[in-house]
Amino acid sequence: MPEVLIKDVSFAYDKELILGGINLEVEAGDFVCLLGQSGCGKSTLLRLLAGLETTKQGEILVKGQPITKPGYDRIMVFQDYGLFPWMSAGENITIALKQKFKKMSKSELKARASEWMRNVGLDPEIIYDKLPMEISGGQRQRCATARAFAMDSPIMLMDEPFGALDAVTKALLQDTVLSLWERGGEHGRKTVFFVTHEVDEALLLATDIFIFGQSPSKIIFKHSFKGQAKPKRETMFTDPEVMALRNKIIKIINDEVSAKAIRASAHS
Amino acid sequence: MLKVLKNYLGIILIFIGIVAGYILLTDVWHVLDPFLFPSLSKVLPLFVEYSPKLLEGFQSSMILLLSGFSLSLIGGISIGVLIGLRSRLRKNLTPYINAFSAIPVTLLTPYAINIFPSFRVASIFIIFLGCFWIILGTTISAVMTIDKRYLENAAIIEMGSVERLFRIILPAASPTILVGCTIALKMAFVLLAVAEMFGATSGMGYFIQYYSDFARFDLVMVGFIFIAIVLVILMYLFDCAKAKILYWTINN
Repeated sequence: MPEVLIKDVSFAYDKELILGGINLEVEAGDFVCLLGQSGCGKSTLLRLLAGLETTKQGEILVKGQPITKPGYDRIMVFQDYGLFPWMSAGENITIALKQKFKKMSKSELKARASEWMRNVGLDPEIIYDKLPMEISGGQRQRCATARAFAMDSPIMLMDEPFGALDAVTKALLQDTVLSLWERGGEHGRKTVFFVTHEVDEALLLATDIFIFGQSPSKIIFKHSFKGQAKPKRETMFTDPEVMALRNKIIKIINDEVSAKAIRASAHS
Repeated sequence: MLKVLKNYLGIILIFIGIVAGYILLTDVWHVLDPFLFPSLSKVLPLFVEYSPKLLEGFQSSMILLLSGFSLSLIGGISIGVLIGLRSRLRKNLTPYINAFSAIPVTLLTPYAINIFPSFRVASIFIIFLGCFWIILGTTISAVMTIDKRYLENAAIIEMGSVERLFRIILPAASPTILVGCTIALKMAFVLLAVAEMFGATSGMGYFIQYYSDFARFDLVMVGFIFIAIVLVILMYLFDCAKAKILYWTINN
């Protein structure tokens, strides 16, 4: 049984159809990148997976069960607003942990939060008691990542988590996420759904890439790295196969954007 | 000391300006009617003479003010949160809230006197009601306009409803709620004078009202200055509390 099965899912906001029949099968431990231009509905699919929206058409099954509400078995990392600004960085992690690990004492929660802060490259001695506004954007996203991994949820939903960061910080965080995912948790590797509009980010992180078309959204291209070596940061721009794939993906996205523009002008 | 002086230099200079302006307009240029605007040299000694009465009034006023304001704080915030969170309840109640809050509280004095067992309780009710509508209104809009992403974030980690209320909803809504509380506290002072017209035999508002009836405008001025000092101190304490609650906001 696939870990996540998305069967013919459509979704509309008011009367505007956002997702028009999405089908996906994802195995446990896959790192799925949902790639596409802004407004193509990839974040909407993530919200459906999180249980923040419900669909009337089609169904989404996790381990064979339909999603009915949000829950920490599908932890989410937001682009912004991932941390509550009135709580310290450490408290932001422990408040999530204590919902799941109800029997843990305060000191155990703090120890786990600190350990995961260290795992994502933060020094808890310095960062733990700081408010989100007192630390940098990169540190905030590290903290949100630490929170997500510390929850040890089998599924992680990441909605352009590094979209607002500078290139260097972004690269460091991508490496952190990738190594933590590769290392795995108590129950093996986590299944990750990672929304991005950057082709290189998808190539670097994903085991499976799904490209979303627009208006209404559907999957127009799939690529899996399973059974072959994943691109590496050091070699991906010199590897002819990866570059060919990269160019192909960029062309598919560009063609889709042009086609949408033509459709739009034909309607107007 | 020098640092404190530097910190409050602007405030001190404006204060000196106001006092100097008053002296110029009264004692020096005689522009203002000395009967309504007595000279400060006359007013200031009266402070000492009437200080026992002023302090007695302060005590009595504070009981009315703090009882009414605290009740409105508890009632306004709890009911406001409830209405703010439930869109159906909000839809059904909004016309009635608008209708009742539009009635000037001061016009309800006869009803309050009739309904409540004592003048004192009636006075507290008048202050309560005036503040209540302000706090209720701001709390409803504060809760309504909480960024949904905070609530979604809480839902993702399966936070329970009580914890969500105290750890997410109230902190997220607190900047706007506290704006309402500041306005309500000032409103409480305005209503104090009305409430003390019938519900008191002493008080800061009563003091002004009483001597105004006897055309003792020197003592009226004493009352004005005293009430202003009390308001400034109270607002300062309130601002300190506000800064503590809003430690996490950028502008704080």
